[in-house]
Amino acid sequence: MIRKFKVKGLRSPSLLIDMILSDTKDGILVVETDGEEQIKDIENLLKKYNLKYEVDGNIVKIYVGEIQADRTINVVGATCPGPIMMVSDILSKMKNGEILEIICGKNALTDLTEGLKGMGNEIIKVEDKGDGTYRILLKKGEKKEEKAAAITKIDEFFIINTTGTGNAEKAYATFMMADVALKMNLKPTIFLMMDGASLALKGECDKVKHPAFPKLGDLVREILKRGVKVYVCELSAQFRGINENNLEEGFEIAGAPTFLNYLSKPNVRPVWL
Amino acid sequence: MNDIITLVSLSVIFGAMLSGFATFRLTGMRLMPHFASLIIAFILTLASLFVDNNIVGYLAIASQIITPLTICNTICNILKTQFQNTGIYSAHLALMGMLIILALGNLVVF
Repeated sequence: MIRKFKVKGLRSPSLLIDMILSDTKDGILVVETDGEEQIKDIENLLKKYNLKYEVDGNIVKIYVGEIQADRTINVVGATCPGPIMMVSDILSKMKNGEILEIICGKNALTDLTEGLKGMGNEIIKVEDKGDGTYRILLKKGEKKEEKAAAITKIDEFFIINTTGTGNAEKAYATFMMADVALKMNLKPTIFLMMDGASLALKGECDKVKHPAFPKLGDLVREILKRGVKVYVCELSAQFRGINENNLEEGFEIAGAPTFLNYLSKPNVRPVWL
Repeated sequence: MNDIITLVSLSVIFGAMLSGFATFRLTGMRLMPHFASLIIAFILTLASLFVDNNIVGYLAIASQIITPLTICNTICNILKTQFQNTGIYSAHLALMGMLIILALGNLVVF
């Protein structure tokens, strides 16, 4: 159960939350606050009760007890696009507002969270179960039709590499473009697919070196350090025998839902290499 | 040694050097043992045409056999991870395949 309420303007919001918590056995409380002062007050109360919470801007999400899911699905072991198809199928049979519990492997985690968010659902919680699987709690929603803005500012770049180390120039361009985008205050995300997935093989980038540029491996590590996400297509990786064990550090396996989710954002411009 | 086969080998090596450099440019500036081996094979084969010395002849044949073998590691990796790009390596691979057969032919008629 999810309860939303506002505490704006209250001097001690913790008093009100304390009362609400006393008759809440399980669920999520979404509290809209004024800002820091109120959040601090609420945090002190939550620490006292030892409750899990998340702060997102002015919103505090409080998790009480174990949230009861309406349905559960286990997609561990399924590879892209299996998980998203299985989950979409079960979601189509559920009502808006119902909660679905998804158990998945690391390979499908990004796909499910990104893809399902793009479909208008709300990710309530993501838990690492510690055995290589993850538990996602999702509230079913519907994609709202957004009015098209007259001008959409492009502030993200989705750089797609399909040639890998087979084309050194394009491999350099992928990471250099990300570097330049960062310097221009644009958010770059890299997606490696088809032969591009070969860049994700451990140590492969270190083999490419042009006299005029730093070693490709060094450039990649620099980009990762600065927070750029590098996704590797799960299917392409499997075609090339790339898995969690021989994947370059910092790269993430993702799949079609992540890819399509980026391409469907109006503020994102794809760059194919 | 059969001069005709040696001359054909030399032309194959020269062609392999050109196609090799084309792929070398594409895949990044990496100097691999394969390149060194190919250049040595070229020099020795050229020398064996002019120098009437068995040692030079055998060295030329040895380098012609070793050179295609040195590409194995690279080509296995490419076939495994970048198979959609293998078309650009095909010219070089074909010449390497021809070279090893010519080298064996050279050895038989030596």
